Amino acid sequence: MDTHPVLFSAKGIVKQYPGTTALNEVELEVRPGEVVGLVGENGAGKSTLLKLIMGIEQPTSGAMTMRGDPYTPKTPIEANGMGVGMVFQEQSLIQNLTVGQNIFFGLEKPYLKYGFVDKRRMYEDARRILAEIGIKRIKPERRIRDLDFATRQMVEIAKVFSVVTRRSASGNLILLDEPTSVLNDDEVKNLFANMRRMTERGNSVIFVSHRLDEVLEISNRIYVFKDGRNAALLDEADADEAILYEKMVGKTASGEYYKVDRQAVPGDEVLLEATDLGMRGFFGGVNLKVRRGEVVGICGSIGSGKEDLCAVVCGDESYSSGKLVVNGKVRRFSSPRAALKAGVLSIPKERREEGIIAEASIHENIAMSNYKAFKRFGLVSTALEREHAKRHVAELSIKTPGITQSVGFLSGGNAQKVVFARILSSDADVLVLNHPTRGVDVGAKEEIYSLIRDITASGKGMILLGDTLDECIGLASRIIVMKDGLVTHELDAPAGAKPEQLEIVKYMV
Amino acid sequence: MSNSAHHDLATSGRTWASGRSWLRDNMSRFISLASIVLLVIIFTVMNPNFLGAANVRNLLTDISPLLVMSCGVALVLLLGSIDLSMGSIASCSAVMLTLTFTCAGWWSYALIFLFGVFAGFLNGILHAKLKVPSFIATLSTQSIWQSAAFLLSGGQPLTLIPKNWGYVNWVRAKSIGPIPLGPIPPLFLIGLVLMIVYYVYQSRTETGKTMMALGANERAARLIGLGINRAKIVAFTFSGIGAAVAGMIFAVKLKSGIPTVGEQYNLIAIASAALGGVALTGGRGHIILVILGVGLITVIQNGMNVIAVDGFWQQIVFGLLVLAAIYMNSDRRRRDLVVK
Amino acid sequence: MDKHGYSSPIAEEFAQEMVRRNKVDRIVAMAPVGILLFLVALLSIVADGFFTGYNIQTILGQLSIPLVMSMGLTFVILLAGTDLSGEGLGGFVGSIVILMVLNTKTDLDMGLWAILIAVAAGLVVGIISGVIHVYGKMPSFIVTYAMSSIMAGFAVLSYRGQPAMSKYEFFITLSRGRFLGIPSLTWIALAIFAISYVLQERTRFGEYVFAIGDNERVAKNTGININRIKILVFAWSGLCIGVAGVLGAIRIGRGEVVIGKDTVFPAITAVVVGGTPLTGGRGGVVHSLVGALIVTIIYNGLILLGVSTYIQAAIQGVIIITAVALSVKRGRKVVTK
Repeated sequence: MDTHPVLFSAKGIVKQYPGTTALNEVELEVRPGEVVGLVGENGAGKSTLLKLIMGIEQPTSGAMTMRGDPYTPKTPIEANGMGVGMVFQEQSLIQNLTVGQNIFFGLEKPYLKYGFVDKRRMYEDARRILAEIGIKRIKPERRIRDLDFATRQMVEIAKVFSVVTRRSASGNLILLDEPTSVLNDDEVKNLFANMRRMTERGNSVIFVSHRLDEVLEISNRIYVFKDGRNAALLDEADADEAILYEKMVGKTASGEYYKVDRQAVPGDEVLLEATDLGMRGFFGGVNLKVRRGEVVGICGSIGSGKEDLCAVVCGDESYSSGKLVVNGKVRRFSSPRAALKAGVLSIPKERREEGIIAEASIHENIAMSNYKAFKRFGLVSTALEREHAKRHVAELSIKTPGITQSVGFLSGGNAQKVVFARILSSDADVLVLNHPTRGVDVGAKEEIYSLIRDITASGKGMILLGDTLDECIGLASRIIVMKDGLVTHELDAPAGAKPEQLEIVKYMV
Repeated sequence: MSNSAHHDLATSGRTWASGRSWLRDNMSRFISLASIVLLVIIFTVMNPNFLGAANVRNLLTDISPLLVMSCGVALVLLLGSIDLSMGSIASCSAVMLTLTFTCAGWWSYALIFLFGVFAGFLNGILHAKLKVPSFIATLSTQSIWQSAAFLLSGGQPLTLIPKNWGYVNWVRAKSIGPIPLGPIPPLFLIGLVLMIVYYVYQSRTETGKTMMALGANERAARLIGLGINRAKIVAFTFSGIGAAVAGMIFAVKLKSGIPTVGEQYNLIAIASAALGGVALTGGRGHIILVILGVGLITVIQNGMNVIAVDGFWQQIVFGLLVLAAIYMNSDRRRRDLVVK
Repeated sequence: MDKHGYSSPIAEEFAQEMVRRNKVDRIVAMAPVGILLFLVALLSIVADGFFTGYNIQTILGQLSIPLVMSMGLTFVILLAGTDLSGEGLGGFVGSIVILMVLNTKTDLDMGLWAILIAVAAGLVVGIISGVIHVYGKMPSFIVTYAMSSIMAGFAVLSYRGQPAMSKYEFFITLSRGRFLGIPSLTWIALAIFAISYVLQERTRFGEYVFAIGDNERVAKNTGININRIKILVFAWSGLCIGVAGVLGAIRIGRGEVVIGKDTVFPAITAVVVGGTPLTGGRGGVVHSLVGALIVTIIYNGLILLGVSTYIQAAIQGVIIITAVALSVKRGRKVVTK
């Protein structure tokens, strides 16, 4: 039995990626037999910390300990060996293998008999492990693909549990990253019962969730992260949802930062209107209007359906109910190209994978959403492209040795400005901005805010998914709050009378 | 997508962006060029006639079918896809052209050209619209057109009947109207013109530029608002046209329609494109430089004939060449790049 | 709040959608068996002499080579790769095995050792393909396509000119022999099937192949040596091609490169029609057995119906495109190369 008073600790953890600091002097301590809640907004550094603990990545500086000894895992397997396991946000089970095979995946050695896997013995052990964490109704012989999501989640937990308890039945650390997003209420209760059973035996859990009520229910202590730093550490008794939110979102900036004084008063002309718009299984009943000069901010947590709504508006997905009207015509976009032709264009969330062609030059990237503007004698003219790109590079102060540079070489902020230059060069008048300042440093952020004001001043309309709630409120003139695929609240956010974050947050959960 | 996956991609993207040097990028082209020079010297030493006017004319004629095929498949390779049906489209075209002269006369050329458009378009639809992986779609159509070629020819090579020789005698023309061609055979001019058209299309039109963009990053190209399916279908159509033109060149050059004439050219055309620096993973390469690969392959082929090497050695050499050329162009630095 | 206890009607919808999709998947998984039964019924009616003892024996004989080929290929396709080397490699193995037994051209006369060496040659070439694919990070279809050309060259090189004729008694016995009414060559094929089944169901190797095809990243993070498994898969495929090449040589009694011709395409068709999608991770050797039966029965039926052999290949092309088109995911965001 491990008797060390602290099971796991992380001290002064710093994790830097080129251009950004994801974690800055972070501390975390887990005692034996407790559930530690970890909350924070997107990009607060929760996932990064979990990755460091699992050995998927290594910290830039700082030290971690496990049961008092230095802990420096290089791979997830090494972490497993030290009694640390993680249930990933996405399912990491092999669909076409059975429950039993998945639980012992990669650990079949003890079940080998003359080189063949002794499945009967393996399934017996699987049954025992499942029973241990209180799941009796799952047969180890069933294939994962035949199970529903909640059951798969349970199998995943059983698998992680069996891996970490290999070393010893107690004194292990299990990381749960948003495990409840696919579970219904009864299943969440069952999960919590399992977690308590694990902790009673001297194991500990780090529980990451955006559902604060759940975090409050199960955790002994709650860490709040914000902008890659510790924002607060609360005992379960001292915390409620309101306090947690206050600590999570905080107040980062003044109106000046978001150029609120330049916020346009929306015109009357409606550019885009959604009526009772829905996408089966993702969101439903959404009504919204985007007017000239308006920034419509959509707030909501992971799984609220806001990303899917964006995908539908910019033609990446199709809707299954309701109506979408763009510039007076009912539309059902077959592709983002169709959306662009109707005047809707997006700035995607994952810049490198979705927003730029990294191999292509700056001038080629800028021209891509509107080739017809760069044609001469029916052919695309490189000279025109370059001339145009030079102007944008100067106007947006994109830092680059030249316009023939591949965009892949630029920093996040400058690459994002190239994306903006492309959008500005297009004919679209409704822009969907999905996390426009993601992975961009502070200086570039401010320039991008200024750009957003310029764009609205020119009469374009905008749908915005902010990187943080603060950003969304600061930039938007109207705010729509979504939860579990439905719109829960709508309010105006005129310059000078911006709503408080807490007012919005209570509709998000 | 998971966070970890995102991040891994981002990091690998960086290593890839900063680690790739100009020299490495162009390695296959340098090697191709150097090999051409070296081989020309070797073959000339072994047989001084190699650089004689007659053989140069031969070489240039030999280059033409491979050139049009390679330029076509290069467009498809730029997408990151592949076309394995070119060989049998060419065979089928050769057979059809030999047969159609009697009833269609000069229009036969237009007819076979349209056949190429159709065959390529079909590949494009199967791949872009039905989302069938290109290698399996074109492997299937390759077997369909091969069957058609055998059916039409009865399984035997067809000889062009002397009555129709009038339609193919232009092949030996020494001038176009008043303009003398010197040692340049008309067939080579056709190849050259097609290459230039493909090059201009690929580098100067929206659809052509879309091919590059989607080969490099299809997801981004889609969200940028480029016409993905159109570009794919056009690329395959151009490949089909290249194959059909190659088939016609075979037919007029040999004055016969051989139902297996294009068979080995699938591999050779891919090899030429790769030797010219087109990456099989898409998004990298230049149509114009494909001529380097075509030149190298033709010099090897012709040289082997001149010094009388058995045919099967060519299969071995070209197989190895494909492997080497693709190896030079493949990106092995991205640790987590999944290659299937 | 509804009866399932989901916190929102949208989540409920999502869950229903998943249930529906699972149901569809399960029905689709049974489709190949339905097609097989339908074909048998159809041909029994329209093709004279289809459902006779003699023709069933013929079908079983015709089954042997596609079945053996598809057994190796199944594992490759489960990884979402492809092996196109069969044409050249099968021809090569078939050519050299005849050269090594009692034949008209050489006096090696190595007897059964010849089979062992020839199959081992297939295995080695498979390993080479696998190594080039894995360490060169080159797509498997092009590596094996080039390999096919190389081995076809070596096949012709091995006999130069006239192919060798077999004078080996054992081969003649095998090619004509039957046991329980089933041709001996088919028994060999069934043995390969049995081994494949055990590999797939009873070994770690089989488990890992499914895992890599389903989610390579997860398999890697679990600490599995992915590269080794992949190379082993290509080795197994090479071995199966080797066996198929030997069977082909026994059938025609001659060691010639054409032994490999038109063997890869039916094998791919068998795997895909049987229900292993080109994207890997699902299906397996039992599916491929059903697929091989379908392919063979169509082939046999077309001959009985007097359809030209030239059209056969075209029909196979149409079948494979249809099968792949029906089995691929066609979501808006799916990227196919």
